This record gives sequence, C-alpha cells and structure tokens, in this order.
Amino acid sequence: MKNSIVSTLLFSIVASLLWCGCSSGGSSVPENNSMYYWRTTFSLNEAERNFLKDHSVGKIYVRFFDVDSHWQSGKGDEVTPDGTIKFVDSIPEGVEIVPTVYITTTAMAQMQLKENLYAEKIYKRINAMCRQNGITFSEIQLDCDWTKGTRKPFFTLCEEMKSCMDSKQSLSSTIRLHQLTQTPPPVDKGVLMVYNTGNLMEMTTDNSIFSRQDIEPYLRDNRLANYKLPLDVAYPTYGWSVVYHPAGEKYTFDRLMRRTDFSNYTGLRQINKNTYEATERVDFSPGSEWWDGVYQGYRIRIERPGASEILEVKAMIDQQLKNKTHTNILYHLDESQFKHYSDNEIDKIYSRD
Amino acid sequence: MNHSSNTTPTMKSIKYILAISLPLFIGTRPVVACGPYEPEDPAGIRVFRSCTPELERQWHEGCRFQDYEKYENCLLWQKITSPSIPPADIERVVYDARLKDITNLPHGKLAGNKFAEWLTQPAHREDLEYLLTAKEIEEIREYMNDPWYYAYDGDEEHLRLDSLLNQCKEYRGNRHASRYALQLARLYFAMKDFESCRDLWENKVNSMPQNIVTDMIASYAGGAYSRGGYRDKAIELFNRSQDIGSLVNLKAWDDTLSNSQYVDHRVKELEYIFSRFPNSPLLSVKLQEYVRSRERFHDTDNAFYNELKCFANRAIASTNCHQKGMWNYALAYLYYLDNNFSKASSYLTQAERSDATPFIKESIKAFRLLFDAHYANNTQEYKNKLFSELRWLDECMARDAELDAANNWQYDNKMNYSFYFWQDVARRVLLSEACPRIGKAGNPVLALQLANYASNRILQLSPVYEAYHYGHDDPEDRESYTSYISITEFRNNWSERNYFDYSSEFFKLINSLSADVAARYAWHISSPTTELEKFLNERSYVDNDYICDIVGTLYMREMNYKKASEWLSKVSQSYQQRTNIAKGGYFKLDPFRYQADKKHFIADSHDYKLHFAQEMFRLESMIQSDAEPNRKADAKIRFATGLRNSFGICWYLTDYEYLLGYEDRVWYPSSCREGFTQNEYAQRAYRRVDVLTDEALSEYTNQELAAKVQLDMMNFKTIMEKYPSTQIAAYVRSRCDGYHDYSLQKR
Repeated sequence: MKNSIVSTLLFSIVASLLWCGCSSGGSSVPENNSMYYWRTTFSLNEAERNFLKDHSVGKIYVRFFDVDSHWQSGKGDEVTPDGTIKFVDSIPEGVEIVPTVYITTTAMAQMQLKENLYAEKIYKRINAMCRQNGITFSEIQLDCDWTKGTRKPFFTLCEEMKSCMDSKQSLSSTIRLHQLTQTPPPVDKGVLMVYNTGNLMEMTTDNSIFSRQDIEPYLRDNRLANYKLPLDVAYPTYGWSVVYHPAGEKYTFDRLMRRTDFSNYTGLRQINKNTYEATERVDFSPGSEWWDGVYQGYRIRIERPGASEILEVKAMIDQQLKNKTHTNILYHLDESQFKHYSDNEIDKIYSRD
Repeated sequence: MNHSSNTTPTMKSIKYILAISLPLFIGTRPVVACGPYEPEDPAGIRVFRSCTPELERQWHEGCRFQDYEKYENCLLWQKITSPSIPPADIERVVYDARLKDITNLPHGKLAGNKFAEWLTQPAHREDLEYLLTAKEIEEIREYMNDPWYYAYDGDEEHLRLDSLLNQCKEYRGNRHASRYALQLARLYFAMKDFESCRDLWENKVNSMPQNIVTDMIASYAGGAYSRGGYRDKAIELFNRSQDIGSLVNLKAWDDTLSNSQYVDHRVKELEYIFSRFPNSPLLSVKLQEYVRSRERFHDTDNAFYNELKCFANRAIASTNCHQKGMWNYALAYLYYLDNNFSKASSYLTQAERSDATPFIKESIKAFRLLFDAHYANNTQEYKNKLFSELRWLDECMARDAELDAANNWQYDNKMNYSFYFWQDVARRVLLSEACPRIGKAGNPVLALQLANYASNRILQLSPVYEAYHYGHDDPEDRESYTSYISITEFRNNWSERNYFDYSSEFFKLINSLSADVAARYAWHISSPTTELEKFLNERSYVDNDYICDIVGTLYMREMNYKKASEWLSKVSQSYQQRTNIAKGGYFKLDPFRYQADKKHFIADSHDYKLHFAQEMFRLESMIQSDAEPNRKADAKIRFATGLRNSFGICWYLTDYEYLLGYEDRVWYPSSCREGFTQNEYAQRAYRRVDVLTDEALSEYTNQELAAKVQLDMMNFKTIMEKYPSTQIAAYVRSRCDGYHDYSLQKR
C-alpha cells in the first residue's frame, strides 16, 4: 500500500514536470482526453487500447442505447430502447465511462407529458447496465437533436433525469450548432458537436461531416463565449462515403458506406477532388450475399475532414472559449477511422491552448 | 392591345375557358401532407372471412390459440371450486385480473365476482395463494419482457423469481400440483433452464393425469426438448398439447413431405395440419390469408389455388372434418373470384347446408348477399330478396358497430379501405354490385338509396367522425385521453372543410346523375313508396339541407333556374354558412360582373345561390318576353355573364369540390376531373353564352349601351371601330394612349 502511494506520488511529480515542460512550448496535450464510442458492441483491439494510452484518453462517452419510437403490436407506437450496446471487452483500467443515450426526436415528442416516467426508465436501465458490466459512473449524457418543437419535453426530461440521479452525479447533453441560438438545456455541462454540419441528402454538399463554411455562421457574435452553459467540444475524426443515384436531372441520396478508398476500381471515374461517378456497374464485394456496389451513373462522395480544416475551426472555437475551461473530445473510437490521422494531428486537436 | 369582338364562337370559348380556368386553378387549396388519395374502388374491398381478427392476432403474435385453453382451464377451475361460479367470472380472475386486483379482494375491480368471493373465504386460502403466486410470476415475466428491462446478476426480479421458484417447488399439496408445475415450467423457461424443464416433465408431470394444465406444460416441455435437440420427443409433446404453432415452427411436416400429392408448400402445410388437427383454428386463419390474397391482390399463382381447391375438396370428404361449411365456402369464393359462377353457386349452396360455426355461417350468408347482388335487377322478386338480406345485414352491422374510434376508421370508410367487416360487406355488395346494376336496370333512385345507406349507415351506428389522442390510451395515466368529434358536431360546427359528405360514394353517384333523378330521389325520401325505401331512408343521411342543396345545384348545372330556385329555397341559412364554399370564403363575388373579382364583393351573401338562380330565372323570362330591344339585350348580356361565371370564377354555383386526384394534388370540381375544359355541362353553357352575347350585341339600338358591354369585355378596338362617337369611346381614348393615337390616325 505504502509502495503504491509512493509510486503514485513519484508518477504525479514526473507527470507534472513533463506537463510544465510541454506547456512552455505553447500547445499542450492534456491528460484525461475524451472520446466517443458509438458502436453496438464494446470491444477494443490492441490499436484502440494503445490509442487510449498514447493520447491519455481518460474518459469515454459510450453510447449505451438509443431511445426511439417503435410500433408494438396491440400498443401502437411505443418509446423503447434500441441498439443496446453489448459489452464484450472489459473497460480499460483508469478510464471513466460516461453512459450516453441518444434520443430520436420522434421519441422525444412522444415522451411529452411523461418525461418523469421515461427519465426513471432511462436512469434505471443505465444503472442496470453499469451494474451488470462492472461500470461505475458519475456522469450521464443525453444526446438529442432537439428543436423548438421538442425543446420543452427534452428540457423537462433533463430536469427529471437530474431528480432521479445521485447528487454526486452530473448530467451533460450534446449541443448541436443550431441549438446554440436557443436557451441551453438544464444540464451541468454541454458538449458542442462540431460535426454533421452539412446536408447529407444533397449531392451539392461538399462535405456533410465538417465544413468550415457551414460552421462559421453558427459561431457569429462570440456565441460560445456568451453561452450560458460550460461547454466541451467534440471534433470529428471519422469519414464515410455518401452514395447518390440519379433521379432525372438530380441525384438522390442512396446510402452511406464505410468504404472510402475507391482508387482501384476502373468502373469509377473521379469527377472532382472527392467525388466519383460509376461508368459501369461496380460490385465492391463480389460473392457477398448482400449487394454492395453501385450502378452506372451513381455518384460517390468521400467525406473525411482534414486535420488542417479541423484545426482552423478549432482555433476559432478556442478563441471564443479562451476564458472558459474546456476539453476536446474526438468522435469516435474506431481504429479504421482514427488511422487516417497522425498522432501529431490527434494531439493538436486535443490540445488546449 | 388588340382586343376585338370579331372572334368566332370557338375562339370565344377558348377565351372563356382560359378566363375561368385560371382563377379556378389559382384558387386551388393546399393539400394535406399525406394526401390526397384517390378513394379505392369499392370492388377492391375484401369480404372473405373465415377467422376472427382475434384469432388472426393470436396466431401472428404468439402462434397460439388461447380460446380453447382458456375455456378448458376455466372449466377445470369450476370443477375444483363450485359449479355455481360462472366460467366467465373465473376467466376474469384467472386471465384478466392483475396482481393488485387479487390483493385488493374483496374490494376493487373484482367486487361482485363469484370466483373472487370464493377466493376470499378462509377455507379457500390455498386457491388464493396459488393465484397470487401465479399472478406475481406472470407480472415479473411481463416486466422482464419489457424492452426497457436490462437484467443484471442479482437484480430484484431474478431474486424474486428464485424465491417464487422455491415456493412452487415446495408445494406438497395435490389440489394444485399440476398448476404449480406449470408455473415451474414457465419459470424454467424464463431462466432458460431447459434441462430442469425436461426433468420436471419426466419426473413429475409425465405421471400426472392428462388435463388442460398438463397439456400446457407439455407445450413448454416440448420447447425444452426441442432446444435440447430432441426433435421427435418435442413433436410428440406438441402433438399432445395441440400446439400447432410449435409444430409449424419446427416444420414437423418435413417427414411427411415425400408422401404428399401436393407440390405447393402452403398446401403441404395445410395437409399436415389437417391430418393432425382437422378442426384447428389455424386452418381458418390460413384459408383467410390465401383467399384474401387472391381477392385483394389478384394473386395469380393459379397452380397454388388449383391445389388449394383440390385440398379443400379432400377436407370436405374427410369424416373428421367438422368445418365442411368453411371449406365449401372457401371453394365457392375461389370459384366466384375466377368468375366461374355456376361452380360458385353450387359450392355456396353446399356451404349453406354444411356444418359450420355460427361465425362461418354468417360469413357464408354475407357471401350469399354478394353473390345475389351479382344478379341484381329491378324486379320485385330481387328487391324483396334484397330487403330481407339488408335487414339481416343491418342487424349484424348494428350488433358489432362498437368501432374502435382510435383507429380512425372514418378515414378508412371514406377511402373505401377495408376496416370493419359488416360495413365492408355493405359497401362491396351495394356499391360495387347492386347499385350499378339496379341503376342500369332503370331504377337510379333505388341505386341512390342503397348508396346512401352503404356510405352513411355506419355513421348512425357509430357517430364518431374523428378521434384525437393525447398520450397513450392508458386509463391509469392521467395525461392520456382521447377527444372524439361526433359526426353531427363535424357536420354542424367544424371549422374546417367537410371532406366526407362531398366525397362519399353516395355523393359521387348523385353528382353523376341528372337533376331530375336527384329530385325524384329527394321526393322518395319524404314520400317512400315501399317498405324497402322506408328502411333505407331511415338508415341514410337524408338531411333536407344537404339533399336540397345538391338537387338545386344540379339543376343550376343544367341551366334550369326555375327548378334550381325551388330547391335552393328549401336550404336553410345556417346550412349555407357551414358549407365548404362558405368556409372557403366564396359567396362574396358578384356573379353578374364581367370581371368578377375581390374588389367588387357583394354586400349581402345570404341565399347566394338562391338569389343567383332567381335572378337568372328572371333574366331568362325577360329575354323571352321583353319587347324593348335594349332591355332585352341587357338581360341577355347579364344572363350570359352570370352563366359564364357560374362555370368559371363562381364555379361553386354549379359544382362542388373534393379531393380526387393524387398526381396533380389539386382540388377538382366534382363533376369533372379535368376541370371545366372537359365538362359537358360547361361546354353547353359556353355555347349558350356565345350565342346570347352575339345576339345581344347585334340587338342593341343604343350605341352607348353596346359600347359599355364592349368596355366590360375590354374590347377596346371594337369600341373604336364600331362606336367611335360614344362617350365610352371618349373615355377609352382619355385613358389609353394607344387608342388616342389610333383614333387620331383614323380621323
């Protein structure tokens, strides 16, 4: 016991010295960085575990389940949990888990007048999941794309959640850029989602995940500095491809694909920096049971935010939050996604100037 | 500017059409997000029925039919308690009551229930304890099946179930030995402990006397054996418990495939089910699914349907079959759908004579109505038969008309979607078969009476127009409630448009007939000539205002203003103000202005349609009788203007509007889908307008009056050419530079 205290003290001193050394150079890579985990099975490979260590990730916002509206025979539309995460791997030691619940706006609207009931259900289920999987938690996060129509029930839900929770536990919520103009929700902290900023459905969108041009208008009037809720900031480190099919003279959204490398397909012609057009039928997974391909005329837009663009936006945000303590969070923990960014780039995104 | 009166009648018509079409289409209403949808053809309504919606639900939700089990179980309870306790009381306690209802005894929901009274007696503590245990297990299992439940080791539910499991195991009595064993089987299943479930069967239940409770356990045990890979044992137990759903899921008929004479897997499945349980409710569920698929979706898999017919004949020939009526009925219906009416008739007669449940017998009788309507005519013999059949149909409709307003059946009713069996039968038989045939046979009045009955009877029996839901329909949730709008409130006080009365099949029919026929129908409402008419009138929507307004409007459409005036004078002010037209803000334009527009609203819109008809009739009389040429020409121009506008910007004088087209998403005048351009009444009116205008212009002896007419019609060039010396011409010159120059040059 004594030994462990001594070594902890030593470690703290060394870490503090290192911290000071880094800080003196300007930007720093702080400890207790955070990430989102947005998959339905909690399982980490070696690279992901290393990533957590290498980048001092001390907190993971894990999507526990979604809350959506489902048709239940004999009952009609019912608000129920969906896509509950399955814990296959243990939680890495020393990493704090923040149970995160995504609530669809349809479900939110249906919860109206029954927010207390659903707050209790959500809290009880999070508790049960944590107990079964050996997780202790001190924060819960609610994620909902609330608008004016669903603001009231969402805010009431937050209040009801807080009344269910232990006084030592805190409640946070995601804040989308468009929500910045409205009163903040009654939570202890917000996480500003600086992604999914463009219109995915439109072929003319350049990058629906992240675009400085789309983000800038939301940051007018020093909005973040004036926002009446402590904010952390989440940046995207993921990408995907958006497939569109021709519909007359326009293109209609078809689907999303995880695949983002199309350099080896002769049936695809690159028509601009991030868009391909199929000149013939292309099957990406020949022999697969499910169709995974595109037909002639289809277009594929690759979307992956570049580190430089993220850092440009980050500078704007940091400027507004310079007098407020905040952390940066990455979305999301997945080797196939973060491998597209160098360690240095990740550290820069995490850094707090 | 190049306006001229020297246009041919055809050109003028085009001009009129343009003039009236534009405001008509500009004035179209925005549409609702989910529509409009074109009402379905009543011929598409399905009326084959071999099973109840409840049976269908039980099968699709749990692959089990609970009615038999429930009934037998209640009889068993009655046997061990008292014959004076009705099975219905037992069912209420055993199946419907919640745990809290039992703990609240003798108070609460079950007060007055004979079985509940029995349970409260101290001597019957053992029965009460069993029910308390069973209810608690049921409710915990129910909670654990809730999507919100997430199990964790040592959670409250599991701990309680463990304790209940021990309680069930420790029961040493005889009275409820099999029932506690049933609870144990359920608990083992809930805990996925299939081995213990198999042990329970082998070591305990197997030796118990067979009854409904041990059969229910056999079903659980079968599931446990199936999960352990003991397929044959599982089939044996499922057979014993008549658990047809599990047998089907296990594809138990696979072993018999090679012996089957049928090719289609669906018929093979029926063959298997029939061979084990020839009177299983599942056969009725499957038959309904297959026949309705042919009926509704015109399933063209002829090979399958031929095999199905063969199998149905085999079923009828079997001595084990107690449902021959159902199989004959299915055959009759399938041949009817094939248009083989002689075979359909023969099987239908067989069906009527064969054994069947009261439910199937009613379905057969409904089919008889449909079949007879295929030969509908205007003979007294048919009308007598129809009357007798309608009286029966009406009783059925009234008996089962407690509709679930929550399902917005009214919308389905309006759109001819299938939603309530007896109403479906009424619409299919009358609207798609009887009405067109009776109308063609020369009795359109009876066709109208039948159409009104088919469209509106349901609204008398269940007078709900719409329901709005707030929260969930949970009586214990104070925030949940449903607000109903009665059809009367909807018709009388609703601020929005009345979609129903101007889009029903009755309205469509009357709106397509001549005004004289509609008037005859109206007369038959007030003075029915037969008992059948009286019967139908009493069960239809025969509101005087509604009918008189339609008849008057139809006369207006036919340019019979005298009769239009007579009928419209019977329409009350209050009704006029609640019509769609009044709600739409019409009834304000002056129909006698050549350029009718919002700048010239009339001051008094009372009796708008009536006043128009009366004025048109007055003008018509004047045209006939006035000898003074200028007054006569003025009357002709005013009449022509009113006539043109009544098929144009003031179209609501001669027409109604309703949702019809989907693709264009616009409101159309009800008389013609394409608007007035293709409307024969409008075309006739336009020709008359052209003739009257030409006549009037040639009859004027007063140049100023003639020029004024041309001014209204904006024919400036004609004024300059024909009436250059008039004050009107001077007025035009003073207001129009072009014509000032023009007149100077002409000079």
